[in-house]
Amino acid sequence: MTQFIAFHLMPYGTPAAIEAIGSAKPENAWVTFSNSHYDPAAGAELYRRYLDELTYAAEMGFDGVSVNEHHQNAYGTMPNPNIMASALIQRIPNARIAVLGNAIPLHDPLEIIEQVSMLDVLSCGRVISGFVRGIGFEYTTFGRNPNESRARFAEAHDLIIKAWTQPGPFSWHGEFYHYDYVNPWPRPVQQPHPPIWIPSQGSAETVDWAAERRYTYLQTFTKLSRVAQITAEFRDAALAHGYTASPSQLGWAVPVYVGETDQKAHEEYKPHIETFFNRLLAGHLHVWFPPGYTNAAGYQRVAGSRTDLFAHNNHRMDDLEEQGLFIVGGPDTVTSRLRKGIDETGAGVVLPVIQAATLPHDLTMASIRRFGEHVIPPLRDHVSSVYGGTDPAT
Amino acid sequence: MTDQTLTVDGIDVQVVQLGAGPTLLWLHGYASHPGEDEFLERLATGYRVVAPVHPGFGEVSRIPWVRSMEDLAFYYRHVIETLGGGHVTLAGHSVGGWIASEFAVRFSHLLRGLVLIAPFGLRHDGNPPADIFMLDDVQRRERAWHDISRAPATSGPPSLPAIRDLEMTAQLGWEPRLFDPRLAERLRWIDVPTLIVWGEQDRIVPAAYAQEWTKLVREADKVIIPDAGHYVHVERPEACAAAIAGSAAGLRTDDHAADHADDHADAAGRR
Repeated sequence: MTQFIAFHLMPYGTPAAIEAIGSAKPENAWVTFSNSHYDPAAGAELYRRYLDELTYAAEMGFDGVSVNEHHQNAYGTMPNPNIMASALIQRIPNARIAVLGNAIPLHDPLEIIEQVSMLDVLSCGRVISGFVRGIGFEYTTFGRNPNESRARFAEAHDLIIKAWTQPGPFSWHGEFYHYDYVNPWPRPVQQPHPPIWIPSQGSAETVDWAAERRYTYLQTFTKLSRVAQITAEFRDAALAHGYTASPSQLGWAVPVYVGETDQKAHEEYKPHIETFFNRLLAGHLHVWFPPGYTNAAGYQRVAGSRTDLFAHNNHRMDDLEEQGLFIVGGPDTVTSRLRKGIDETGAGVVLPVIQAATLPHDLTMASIRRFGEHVIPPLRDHVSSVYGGTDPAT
Repeated sequence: MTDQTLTVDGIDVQVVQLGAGPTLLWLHGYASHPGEDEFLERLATGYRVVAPVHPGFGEVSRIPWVRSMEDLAFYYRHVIETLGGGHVTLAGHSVGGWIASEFAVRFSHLLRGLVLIAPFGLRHDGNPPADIFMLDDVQRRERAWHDISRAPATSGPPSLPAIRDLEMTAQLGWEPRLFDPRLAERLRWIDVPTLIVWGEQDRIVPAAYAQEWTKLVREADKVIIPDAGHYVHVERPEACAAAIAGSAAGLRTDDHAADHADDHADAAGRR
């Protein structure tokens, strides 16, 4: 059984903005890329259109839809994913609404508890609650100390889970957060709390932490071979914590475009996916990874790389596709690539990013339709070969 | 010049010691090894110079309770206690100058003199210090030197100690960005002769800040050194060392400090 969750980044991909990102020296779409490039009228139209796309995905057979949080950028215009989730709840009657995730170290954890609980009540228990640290850029935006990112994440998480599992009021005096009366209303419909999913870039610490808590772990924007390596580490970590991980605990988020044929799909997708990697992901390396956000050895490795995703803004579709950073083709090709990916990674949750950068509405809708009609049905009951053909949870 | 290890609050701290005489404690800036040997050697003709690497910088471990500039002020109280021998002259550059000022607003009775070279710590919106975290390594280096040919050579990706320098600097000064809004109000409590030194062409912390420091610290003199940027003591070591030697803050006897101790006793007696 494979679950499909349609992921949308809601980029601000107007031609003028893309042009402005490209003419900045060096190219940059984040933190200091001026908001004078945001046209609210265009933004209103994009929000409406993107909500339509996710709604259509739910109608076409996706199990859920998902949104995420980023700040001060053109890559993804959802600084508060819970607001977008609230809009989706009103449009989508049955599918799951996944917030992947709230960047908990950036905010007051009590407000996150309240907002996610509200969403769960509003949706009658359809919310999936993702927690993330937030990427390095957000630490410059918010003035949060990147050195304290991991410790804040851990403490905010512990507080949120305690508030969802123990009756209030109680007091909390940790390293970063102090409350004398934790007693959030409302409480979530899903008891004790919505499923917790952890999107990450695959640090060993986070993999082990998520496995220990039996959460669902999601790997995002990573080449396929590395996704397979990290998901294997997750299964090993689960065993070390005394249980066998199920496919539903492993998610693989990957941009997908389904065209009519392989050739048409490539032609249609190429300018948009290249804009995604070369423009919307463009930012300064030292702001991508502010001091202390990642460990010193990791930063040294990224800073020394000439081929890394962050090393330049001249990525070509062919190279990126070969690494499995996205999937593009006609329905059969996309189905077989996804099957291969599921087999290699053990993922039981696939999160196709259904739109990329400047990909127009009509192409996006057609791709969603083909995905629902031709890709989901043959993969619906497919279980990764890493489990020997049987879901260990069933 | 000898490298030694000093154990402070359970951690091993690398310390360079040189010269003989009254102790001068030197606090480096956001880079733990910017090439300041010649300057320290010049200081060592009149002092026993003790130059530790701050916790979390270079190859020195972090100390769990040292996470802010205020924490570092208390950490350096430990260090001075560990060194023994009475009053010290406290001198620091850049972030180290800011640390020295945070120490001095609390513990100037332990000092005989205070030397602040291009310190961070204050901010004017009209003329803010450079945001060193938004500059990459090349840009930061270009801005820090007036004559970049005087800068230590670099190549390739940053070394691990250099990455750790910037990480700990961020730990201390990420937000507010390398200043303390409470510091200006507190500087009046520095009760020891103070010398403010600045490179005229400093493009990290502009030399205009020298005026502000001189106004806020009661017994402060200032020296602006031409033909020098933020690393004024590396670019013009002779001029910097001479400025210190010729200042009240650079006095090598404890007479002045003793006077102040009497003042404090008098003040206490009057209460």
